Order: sequence, then structure tokens, then C-alpha cells
Amino acid sequence: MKNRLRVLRADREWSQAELAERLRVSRQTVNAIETGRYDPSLPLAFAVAQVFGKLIEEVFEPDGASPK
Amino acid sequence: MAHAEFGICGPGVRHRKESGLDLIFMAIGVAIFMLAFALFTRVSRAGDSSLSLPIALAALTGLALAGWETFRLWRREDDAALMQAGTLGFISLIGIYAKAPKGSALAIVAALAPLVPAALFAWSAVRLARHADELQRRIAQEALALGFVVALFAALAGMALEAAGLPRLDWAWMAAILVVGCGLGFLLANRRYR
Repeated sequence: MKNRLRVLRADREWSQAELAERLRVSRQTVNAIETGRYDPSLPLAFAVAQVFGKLIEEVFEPDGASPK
Repeated sequence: MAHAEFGICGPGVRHRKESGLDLIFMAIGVAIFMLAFALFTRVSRAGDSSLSLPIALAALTGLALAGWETFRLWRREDDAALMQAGTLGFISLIGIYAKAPKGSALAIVAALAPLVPAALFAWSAVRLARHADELQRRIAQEALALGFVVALFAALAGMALEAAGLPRLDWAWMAAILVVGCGLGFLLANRRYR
């Protein structure tokens, strides 16, 4: 699953630690999601989208998705 | 909400900086106890009662030092350090009953002694798991799975070697193998998600 976490985080000038604090997860979890090593659960994916004020599909997209 | 970061052995197993010295002193306390306990049993067998008391006091001092440092870790709520202390205590104490005279009260106490650090390990592991996030839980799950497989293979290998005529293995070591297997699992799973 691809995601725009790094871009969205950079737009807001948040560090990984800051985002982790907002999501109430470890910094390693944020890093693993950003680098695509870990796909978050649905509740966490919704929490990520909510933190950025986006819809879940604006943050995450499946690997095979066609570009918008 | 403070989340434990991943350390060398998985979620939260990286202890806090301030706990490092406590762990070192705890290890020194355990070492003093082990040495004094071995000396005490040797002196008891030799029937030299004049040395028994100072050696027993040295053993108790080592135990008190280890206990005090563990209490400091507990007060600091550093579950990662407590898990390490529990592992160290368990591995150190697991074989001491063999040194005590068979059937003696000392042997019974020594045989049950590893359960104390094992309980400490289990309690701090449960507390860590409660505070872990979903990735940390996944890593712990993978580590436990690997630990189980390693322990299973060790048990099968032990049975096969025993059947082949090699000396009987001490089953108490299975728990230590499980812990080491889990540690290895944490290390591998942690690398995957780093």
C-alpha cells in the first residue's frame, strides 16, 4: 500500500516524533508506515487521515491503483 | 503518552538511559550471589562452619543488591529494564539447585528461585504489551512465534539426542531457550520494520 504520509507531514513541518505523538503510536511505527514496510490497521489509517484532515483515500492507496 | 521505542530485542526492550547503571549493579549483585552460593555449598560439604556465616552474608548482600536495583527499576516503571533484569535473574538462577545438597531445604528454595525473576519478566512483558502499539504487538507476535519454533526444535533435538544415547537434558533450560528464541525473533522482526 502506498501512502503520502511523508509529503503531508513535511507540508505541516512535523517531525516523525510529533506525528507519532498525535497518533499515540511509536516513532518507529510512523517510520515503518512512511517507508511502506508496514501497512497500518484500518483504525490507525483512519486516525492518520483524521490527523491530516484528509479522507483515507487521499492518504493511502493500494499498490495497483491507477494514478489520479 | 509515552511509547517505548524498539530496542535490540523488540518493543520497549531498550531500557531508559538512567536504568543502565542499575542493571549493571543488579548484574554485579547476581554475580556476587552466585559466587557466594557456590562457595557456601562447597564449604558446607567440607564441613567448615567457620566460613559459612561470612559467605552466607556475602550471598545475602549480593541478593540484596540485586533486589534493591530491581526495586529501583520497578519504582521507575521501566518495564524494558525489568524484563532484562528478569531474564538475567532467570538465566543466572536456573541451574543453582544442582549445587545444593539433594533433597535439602536449600535445594528446594534454589529450585524455586528462578520463578521469581520469571514472574518479574512475565509481569513486565504483559505491562509492556498493554502499552504497545499495533506494530510493536506484531513484532512481539512474530518474535513469540519464532521463539516457539526454536524451543520446539530444541525439544525435538533434545529428545532425539537422548534417544541416541546422549545424557538427558535439563528441561529447565527449555524456558531459557524460549527466551533466547524470542530475543532472536525480536531482533529479526525489529530489523524488518526498522
